[in-house]
Amino acid sequence: MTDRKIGVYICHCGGNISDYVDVKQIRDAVSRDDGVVIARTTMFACSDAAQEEMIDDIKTHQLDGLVVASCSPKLHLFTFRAVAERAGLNPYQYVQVNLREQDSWVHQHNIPEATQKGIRLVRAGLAKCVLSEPLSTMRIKTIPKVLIIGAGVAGLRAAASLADMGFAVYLIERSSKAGGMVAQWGKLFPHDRDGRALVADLHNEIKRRENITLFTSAELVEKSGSVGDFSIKIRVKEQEEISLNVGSIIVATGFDPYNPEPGEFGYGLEGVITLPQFKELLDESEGLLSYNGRRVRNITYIYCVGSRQEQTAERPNPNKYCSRYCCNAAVHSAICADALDAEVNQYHLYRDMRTYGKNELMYERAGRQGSVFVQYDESDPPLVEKTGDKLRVRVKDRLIGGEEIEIVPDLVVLVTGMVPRENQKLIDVLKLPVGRDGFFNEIHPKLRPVETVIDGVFIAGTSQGPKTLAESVASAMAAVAKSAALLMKGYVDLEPLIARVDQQRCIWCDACTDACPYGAIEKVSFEGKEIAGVIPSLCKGGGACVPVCPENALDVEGYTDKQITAMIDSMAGEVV
Amino acid sequence: MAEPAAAETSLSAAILVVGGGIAGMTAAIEASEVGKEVILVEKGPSLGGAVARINQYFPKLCPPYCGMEMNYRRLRNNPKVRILTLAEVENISGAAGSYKVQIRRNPRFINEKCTACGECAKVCEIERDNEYNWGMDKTKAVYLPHEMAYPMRYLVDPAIAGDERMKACVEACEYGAFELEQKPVTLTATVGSIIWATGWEPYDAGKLDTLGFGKLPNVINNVMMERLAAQNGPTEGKIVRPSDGGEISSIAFVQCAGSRDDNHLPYCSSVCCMVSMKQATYIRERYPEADVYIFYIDIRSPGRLEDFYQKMQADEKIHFLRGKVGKITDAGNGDVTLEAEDTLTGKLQKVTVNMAILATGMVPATAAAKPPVDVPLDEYGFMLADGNPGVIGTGTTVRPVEVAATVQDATGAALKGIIVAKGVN
Repeated sequence: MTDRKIGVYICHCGGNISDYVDVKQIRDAVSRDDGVVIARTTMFACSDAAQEEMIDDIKTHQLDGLVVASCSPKLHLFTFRAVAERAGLNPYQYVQVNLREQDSWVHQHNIPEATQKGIRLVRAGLAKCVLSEPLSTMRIKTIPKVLIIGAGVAGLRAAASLADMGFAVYLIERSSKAGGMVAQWGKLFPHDRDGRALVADLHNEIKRRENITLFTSAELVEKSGSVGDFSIKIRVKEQEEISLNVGSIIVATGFDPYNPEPGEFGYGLEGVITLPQFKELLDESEGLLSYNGRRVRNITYIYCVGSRQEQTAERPNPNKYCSRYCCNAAVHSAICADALDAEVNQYHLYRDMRTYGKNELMYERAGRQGSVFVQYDESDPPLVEKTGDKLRVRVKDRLIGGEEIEIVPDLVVLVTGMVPRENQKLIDVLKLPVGRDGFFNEIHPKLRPVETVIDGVFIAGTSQGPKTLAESVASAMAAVAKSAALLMKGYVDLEPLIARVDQQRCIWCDACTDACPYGAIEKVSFEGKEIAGVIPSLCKGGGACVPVCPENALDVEGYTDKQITAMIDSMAGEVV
Repeated sequence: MAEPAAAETSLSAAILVVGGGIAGMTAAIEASEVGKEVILVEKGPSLGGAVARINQYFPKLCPPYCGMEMNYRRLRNNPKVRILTLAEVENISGAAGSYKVQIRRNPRFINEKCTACGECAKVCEIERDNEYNWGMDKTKAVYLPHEMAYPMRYLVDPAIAGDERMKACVEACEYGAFELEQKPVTLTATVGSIIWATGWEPYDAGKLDTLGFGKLPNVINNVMMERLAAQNGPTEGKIVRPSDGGEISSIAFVQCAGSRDDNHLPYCSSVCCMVSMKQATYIRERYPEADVYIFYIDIRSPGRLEDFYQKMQADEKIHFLRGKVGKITDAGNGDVTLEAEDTLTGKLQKVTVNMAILATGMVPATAAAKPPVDVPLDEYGFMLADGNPGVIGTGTTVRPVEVAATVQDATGAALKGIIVAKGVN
């Protein structure tokens, strides 16, 4: 018997739940359970009217526990915690049961059994609630400063915008100069703006703002602390180490151009160059195009080099993705080449032409100007050879029934894609997750597109995956908005659902420190012995430490062993 | 969030967001979470826009409900966003940093007492075309825009509000929520910056006069297909032929229907290749034996989505045919014949299927409804970035993009809006 007084609310969710689960039957089943003072069904538990009813019940009946059986806690955990709080009940004595995603939506064909399962789920929630304890959040003051890693266009734009919002910015760049890839390029698609000029303008913008400090030849070597209050150490020019405090971190480390293997589409032969090399050639040319002192009259582009690769024995880790920008950049380069010399012949050997969006107009223009487009099949790629001093490209043109054609170009341009940068040190310092393709991973592509699992660390630009310049800048702006939203308030509240150590039981065997991915456990002394201590601002309540403890000295608040056992017992009990 | 009271005729905020789809909602939420006051104006009766009409979306092919609900929750918990549905921006004066905006609020005829119980609709005798399902079914004259509506409230079709027969509905309402005498109200808002996020419309497939849309009942477009596949669509998620409700053993998708075409939309809409491949999975799931033909020029699965294309290519029931469909004709029994020159073999290819889907592209809403403010659009109606510092276009107002890119863009737009409106609220 418990002396707890708990209110239970079973939600119809319009019909989302009640069409497949008999909510009244659940209510009747649990209404006489130990500790239950009130059990009701409700059409929409999240509606204002239902919330008011709960508040009223909590106050009238002096409830000390609340269970709402509705949708996923991802959706409404905070809604009902707020309800509890408004009614004077500790929000951590609220338990959400997921009757929708975990029951009605997945068992639409068996109402009686879905209802039985519903009863068990609600009873488990009740068991957890009976053992719940009041907890309180921890408030951390945030530091109104931001670290941006990478001073390419994304990083520079982010720095300027953050400074305009009133934040101090430390911008660090691994190489000796700011500007990244774009600083190496002339005309850019789609607007023909000059990359070097664009970076120079941005650089001036940065200099104009007093609250931005740019460190070049600088790397992040240490990070501790947590969201809102990170302590970081940067190493500048291989010697000086500077310690700083920042509230958030934006990672904008960019991409590397794909570097073809020797022999890949003739790479290594004289006259076979990559797209970035060709861009450089275009940018430096005044008048007719020439390469190594010889006029270029025929150019052949080979697309999808280093992108859209298939897995083979020789290539166990292919770049499966499409690099988004390369079709556009290659077609744009053809237009630039045509502007230098309208007589130049250009052949484009492509797989699928991906000039998406309005860039299609560039493709159309290049075609009108005389570029010839030849589609090849990835299973039968073009062959580049050199006979004498002539380059020869043989390709089977899918568009004329796979007939082989031979081109004798002066220049072969390999349209190379983007690959993730070598960043292992940074990944280790930040503990940032990378995707299968090696780029940094966001939490959710649509709901949280620039946030990472490390609170307060955001990603921007091509460090996240291939992007065009416009897309890169858009994501940088998004990362700035998220940083600003975080730091504007001046504080963050951290969840109290973290690990706690039973100080008597702990013998400091150190197993938990190894298990914790967040570095949230440290050695402390207690009554003359060494034991584990939890650093509250770092602990995420992940619970990895709990099962590895040989002494059973660890528990996670809100998910204690006792609670979990009680939940299992109720779930496995008879449904009467 | 708070809906302004009917009597309120002047509002002020740092930012006005026009359009309550995923772009507008994101911009409003993000700006408000930085601490700014926002007014969010939506022309229709509910937030959600085009995303609320999708059955499943990329990259995980999940239904949009949870994402929508999470955005709704963020709005609900945020007192800084004032939401006006059934509202239109009529006039804008002033300049970046200080705009005066005239907003017309059209009547809903139902007040906030509505609990969405639906008793009124049960007794309603009048029906109307359901625009949410592209007219493929009917709703009552008093209706809920859709299950994921926000606000979760019924409304009355303005064309029918005066009808005598509405009396029964009024009487059925236990809550006194009907106000059939409501009139449009104009209010004035003072804001520092404006984010324009009015989204897109599908290209009018009726203009593709050789492809049979509007003449052959089993030729539909991709947005209709999305509704057919949806559990809350006109067929409760059963994908069947509109002509006879028949099951599908073969289906064809026509890519670039009106896109990449000088006579229609010269640009590429970026998303339609992925949409058709996604819809092919709907068919594969429901009709494992059915053959799916995809006529294409280039398959555009940019970035990480390439993976999905590779999976589709490996599926032996999905046939990629390279060529632009020139003609769709009646093949009897409701079937249709597609004709395309196979650009790989040079031969004329004819395929007869039960049903054809035209993958039509995106037309920015601003093409037809130009913002009442000095802001440059391109020749297709997309808003030019940086054309006017105080009016920030975002999402498909600026270029055809998918949901994920829209969310990033809209988050960035919120920031630009905040910087322009600096010092306002």
